[in-house]
Amino acid sequence: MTLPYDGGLEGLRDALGAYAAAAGRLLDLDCFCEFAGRHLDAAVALSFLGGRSEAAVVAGDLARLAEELQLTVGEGPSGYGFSALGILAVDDLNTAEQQTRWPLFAPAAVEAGVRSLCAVPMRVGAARFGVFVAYFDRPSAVNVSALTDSVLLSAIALDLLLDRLGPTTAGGSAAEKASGMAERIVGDRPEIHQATGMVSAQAHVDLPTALLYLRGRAFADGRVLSELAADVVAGAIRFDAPAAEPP
Amino acid sequence: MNTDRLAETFVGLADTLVDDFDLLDFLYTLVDRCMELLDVSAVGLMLVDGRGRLTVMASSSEETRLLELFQLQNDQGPCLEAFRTATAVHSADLQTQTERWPRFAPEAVRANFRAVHALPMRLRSDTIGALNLFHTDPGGLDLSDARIGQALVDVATIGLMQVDLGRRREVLVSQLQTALNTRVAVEQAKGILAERHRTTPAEAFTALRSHARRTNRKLTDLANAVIAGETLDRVGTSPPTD
Repeated sequence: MTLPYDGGLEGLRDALGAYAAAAGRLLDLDCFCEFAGRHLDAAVALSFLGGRSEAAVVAGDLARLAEELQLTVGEGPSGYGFSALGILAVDDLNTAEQQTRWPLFAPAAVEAGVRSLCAVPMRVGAARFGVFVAYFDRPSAVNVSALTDSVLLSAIALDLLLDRLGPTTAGGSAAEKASGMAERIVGDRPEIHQATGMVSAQAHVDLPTALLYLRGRAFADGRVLSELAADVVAGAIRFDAPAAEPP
Repeated sequence: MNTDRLAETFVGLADTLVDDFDLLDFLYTLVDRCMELLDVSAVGLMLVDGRGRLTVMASSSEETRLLELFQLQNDQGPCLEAFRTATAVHSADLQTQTERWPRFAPEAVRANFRAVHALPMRLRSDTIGALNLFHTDPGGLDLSDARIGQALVDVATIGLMQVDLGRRREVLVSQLQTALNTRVAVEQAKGILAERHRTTPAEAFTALRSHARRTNRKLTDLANAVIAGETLDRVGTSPPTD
């Protein structure tokens, strides 16, 4: 027996696609948040840096309240994803431990109806793009199943977010496109991550920007990202500042 | 075999009850110790990723052919079998296994590896990955190496269980996810170093690992420091002088 990941990512992507199609909606971040919320029986929020300012997409009253609350009090799980790297699972906000962690957010969130939550940073290695948060109206909702689903859902959200921040990479096999997560792990394609580091140092930009440069260039050239990355690693293509303007 | 070092290794692997426990660094240590203590030519540790596929987390060398040999095993090979069946898989001579593993066996032989052990990483009812041991000589891996290798893997995974039993699987999911992301960060750091010092990523990684050993810092901490802008000296084709 393996951990409950098997086929999970593809299954969730298919279900998301079916949800959007059935509702006759565009498969965007709003649609995603609704779907994710229904799947987890929670309210889901995504916060990220869209351009220069922080942006958030929420679905459900509970998520909206929690996000607004965090803006007001300046503490809470959504800021978490920007600085930390691991997953945050809070079993019950109505405990002394959580009230110590977030003295302003925790009691107010409990009052608003939030009892447990799960925050998953949306990142590619050290390149942080934002955070996925699921808010639950009952304590102890974050069991293994909810946790693994949150991890998988946050990966799908990151795919959508990357598409929103920059153009989709063109070309590639159906398998490569379907598994956007191929960009998220080392697996067969360490060059993508090595190239991200190289571009970051060449162009003097942070890692998220470097990855977006690479994706944009791959799209512009009609190439698969991994092939472009291999050229960068081999030194055949460089992104030296200031010549490297983002597309 | 240096039995003191072996005993020390077992103790070290079991000591995961530390606040700053880092799964990826732990796995690199496991691989290093296997190379040191066992009569093997190459070692690789694979973990299951979010897609349910095996991905290399730590290996004894960054040589492309070796890494590809590990990754190939996502479709077939001893590691995949060990992972799926949760039992150890052996072959004394891969040259005789072309029917069993029609893609993997010839590739391994081409890369000069003839003998293999694949040992599952089992955590109660979950199998989270597998350890791969290779030898260049047919019959070069003896069963005592396999037993010790499995014991090291088991102690390591027992170490991962040293958390509140009620939350063990949740903590494991979180640790695995962090380890997978940190592994990517290591690749990103390799790229940054390769560019800064005009070397290959593989050379940059060698420098990173030796710097980590020399300064007694965790590899993953060092990778994050490089990403945050810290510079390393002595990166390049000439070996360090100490």
